[in-house]
Amino acid sequence: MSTRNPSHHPSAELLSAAASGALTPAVNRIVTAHAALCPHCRATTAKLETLGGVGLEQEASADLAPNALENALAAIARDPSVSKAPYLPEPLAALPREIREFVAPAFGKRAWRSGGIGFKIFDLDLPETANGESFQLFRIEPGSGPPLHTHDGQEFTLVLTGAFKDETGLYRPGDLETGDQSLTHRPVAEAGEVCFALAVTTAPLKFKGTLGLLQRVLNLGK
Amino acid sequence: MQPASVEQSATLDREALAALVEDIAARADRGAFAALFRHFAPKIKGYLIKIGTDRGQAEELTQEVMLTVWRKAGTFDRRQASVSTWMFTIARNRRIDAVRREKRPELDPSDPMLVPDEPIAADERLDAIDREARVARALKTLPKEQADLVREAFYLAKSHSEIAEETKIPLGTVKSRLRLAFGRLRKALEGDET
Repeated sequence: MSTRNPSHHPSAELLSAAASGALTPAVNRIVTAHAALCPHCRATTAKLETLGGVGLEQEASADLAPNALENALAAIARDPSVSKAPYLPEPLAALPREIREFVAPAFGKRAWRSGGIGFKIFDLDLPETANGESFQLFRIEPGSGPPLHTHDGQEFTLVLTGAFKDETGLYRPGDLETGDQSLTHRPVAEAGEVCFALAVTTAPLKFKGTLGLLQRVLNLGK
Repeated sequence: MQPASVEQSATLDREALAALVEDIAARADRGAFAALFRHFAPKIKGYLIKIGTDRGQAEELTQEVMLTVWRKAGTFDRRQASVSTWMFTIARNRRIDAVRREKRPELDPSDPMLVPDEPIAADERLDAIDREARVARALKTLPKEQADLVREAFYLAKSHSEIAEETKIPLGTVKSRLRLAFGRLRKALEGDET
């Protein structure tokens, strides 16, 4: 992995939201992945998390079910002691553990799909609570890239290997690009190495039930 | 008991807790796991309930968090985090993935910077257990209203506008109090206390 420190970081606000637990599943993953590649944001996050740690330490105890400890002991006894490290192709196998944990579970479940010439997309696992979010791995050949696009909600792109350039700048390993609806861009991978990147999009929240009906009837939330 | 010895025993507790996680990592020590469970599982359930998880789900998630602790004990590093901070991050992440929230947090890009914006030159060799002890002490020196706000924002993940709504304190006051509190905590976080 590169020893260069990233130069595009999450905003201070995003970093404190990540530390406190205010983010949604996909955005939490990509900010965590950035911190795994960025010594500066990792150190800042560790310090902010101390505030949560002190909160937990001072938390009042809630009553657990009477057999809670027995159940936990039974669960660890059933748990296989050696967890198999999932297979990841090079160069992904060399990424920090925090990132491999997000990427690996999807490998073997599905295949890469084509997103155009020299551009492949791999859909990564998200919990079902990730309402409308997407979490993907991009593989971009030098000189290629996703077509010109814009999106609802926000888009986050984190370079893992190689580099890409778009209208807003050059992104190298560990760099996080953050965009919203106002960003229309066409990222192109730099010459040399294949660019692997994580990508997250959020979408506007859609209401369910009565509110959702109102939303659809009134065509709100666009 | 003298306040100094209370703090000292809390520090010893932090060392002992770290040793429990290290015992789990080193030899799958179930006794260490049971001790860690007795200490932390009720607190984790308390945290999950306080942050809005219903009781049944909080019980279930506490079990999942403790199983994750068992599996991930090998990744614990007392130089990087104290046990309660490490467990907080596990519980926080589990809850993010397990609990569907009705509304997304509003990220206000014009918020004042609560995070230092220049690289932190703190001594990284400093034990994270010491850092936690320092932060716990520094929190006690804050006026109650500032300490409460820090807790709401950084432990219970509430947005500034949510805090303003719940406490009936104007949003501007919430922000300025948090800024004040953070200014005072910064030294403890960065390791040049006193």
